[in-house]
Amino acid sequence: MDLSPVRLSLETSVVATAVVAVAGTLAAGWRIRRRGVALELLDGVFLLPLVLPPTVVGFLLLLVLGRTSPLGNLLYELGARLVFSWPATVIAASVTTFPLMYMTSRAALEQVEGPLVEAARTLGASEKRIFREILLPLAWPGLAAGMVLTFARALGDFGATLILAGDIPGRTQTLPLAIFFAVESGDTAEAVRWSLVTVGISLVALGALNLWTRHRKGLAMRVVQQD
Amino acid sequence: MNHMLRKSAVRFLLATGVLLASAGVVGTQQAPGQITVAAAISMKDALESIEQAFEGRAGTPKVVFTLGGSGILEKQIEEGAPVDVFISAAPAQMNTLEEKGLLLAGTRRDVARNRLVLVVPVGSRLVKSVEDLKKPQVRTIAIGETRSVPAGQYAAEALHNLGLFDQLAPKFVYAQNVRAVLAYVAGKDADAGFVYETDAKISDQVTIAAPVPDSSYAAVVYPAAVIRSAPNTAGARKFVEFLGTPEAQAILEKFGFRSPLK
Repeated sequence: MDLSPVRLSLETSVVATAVVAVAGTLAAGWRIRRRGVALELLDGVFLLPLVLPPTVVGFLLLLVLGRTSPLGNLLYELGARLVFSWPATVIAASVTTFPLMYMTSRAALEQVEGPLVEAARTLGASEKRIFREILLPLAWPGLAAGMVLTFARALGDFGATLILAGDIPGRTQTLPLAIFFAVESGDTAEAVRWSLVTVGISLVALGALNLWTRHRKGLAMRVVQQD
Repeated sequence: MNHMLRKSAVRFLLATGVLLASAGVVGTQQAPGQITVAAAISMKDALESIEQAFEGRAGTPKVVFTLGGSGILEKQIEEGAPVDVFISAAPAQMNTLEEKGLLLAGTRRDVARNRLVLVVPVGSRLVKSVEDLKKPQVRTIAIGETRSVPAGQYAAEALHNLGLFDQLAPKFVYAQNVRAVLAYVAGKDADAGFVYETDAKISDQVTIAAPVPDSSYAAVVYPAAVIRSAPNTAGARKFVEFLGTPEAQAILEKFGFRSPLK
């Protein structure tokens, strides 16, 4: 039995979760210190991947990164083959999950904003230090929740991945794609097998992530108490 | 995952329904004067033209299409989708329904034929024959998924018979239906792709690089039949019969299909 869909799904979800955790938290940290109409619009753009059907997200990504677009052509000339490659699965999963991480971490960071941050600021702490030593540890439970959501959604991405990365067994065929084509070709046994594997991975990974974040939360609380 | 799949399938159907409704085609309910035709997406443009001719006749029901890959349509019918007529891009899916007793006996007929061609993006001079796909400059070849998409099954059969399949397989990107193959080639994201002659003709962003030798694959035949549990059997019969008339055949030929008899 070829286990490449399992390996690819895990690799894609883990890398996408890492990318989105950093990007989403930084974007949220940058955003909460600013106000303005333009930024509200930007929020709308950040949320688009959640509002649009994944297939549409994949299609738009293909338009932007495909060879007929200026950007896609530039990348092609530079020798980067994004479309139909493994990185395309990460891009697809990252874009579709970004809003989840952004919204969750923004809410979490905003919860912390207030007297504590003001106090640190009056005591001369830099914004970077405030972010690293106050906001992040205190917002950790929310950030962790965002990461759990991101991983879960990344593992399940189908539409965006299929369109941008195509279906290439051993290279871009993640579990959802393997299941889809098994169903379409009438191979119910294979579809059921992959579905059970997906359920298994979800339970194990989410359980582990929950344990780890609880552990981290304990550490984070100790850091704050020591200060 | 199954749940999600079903959800996305339902969402797709809903979206299709909403689109048709906004075009003023669908009433609020499955009225007696209406039939649902599940058809291979490669027939989309020809069927829309046939629909107009059919509905122009007296005493005909309104036609609502649900278009997709033949494999998923066949599955949906198996699961009890309220479909009146099925038009498949290959006999295999129709055979499955027939074996399961889901077709109305005596209504199955071949309505069109097609040919498989190799297409490249407009302006590409890389490929002039199927053999040329071996060139190292050809990096990506789009092909319908070879187990579920008829166009992919035909292409795989042809490449096996030409002795090229194993050599080319590492370059394949599999698509969920033949129109996706066309889109990948039209967008230059694939260097070449296998589609039907009729699909190649609807896009001005691709050109036919070479026909696939006829002798290398089974004839591409489109069978149609009335579904046994059709909500509107009478209307469905009329539509399938209409597909065989000279009028409908002329429309099919206009879109590049060949007559099933020739």
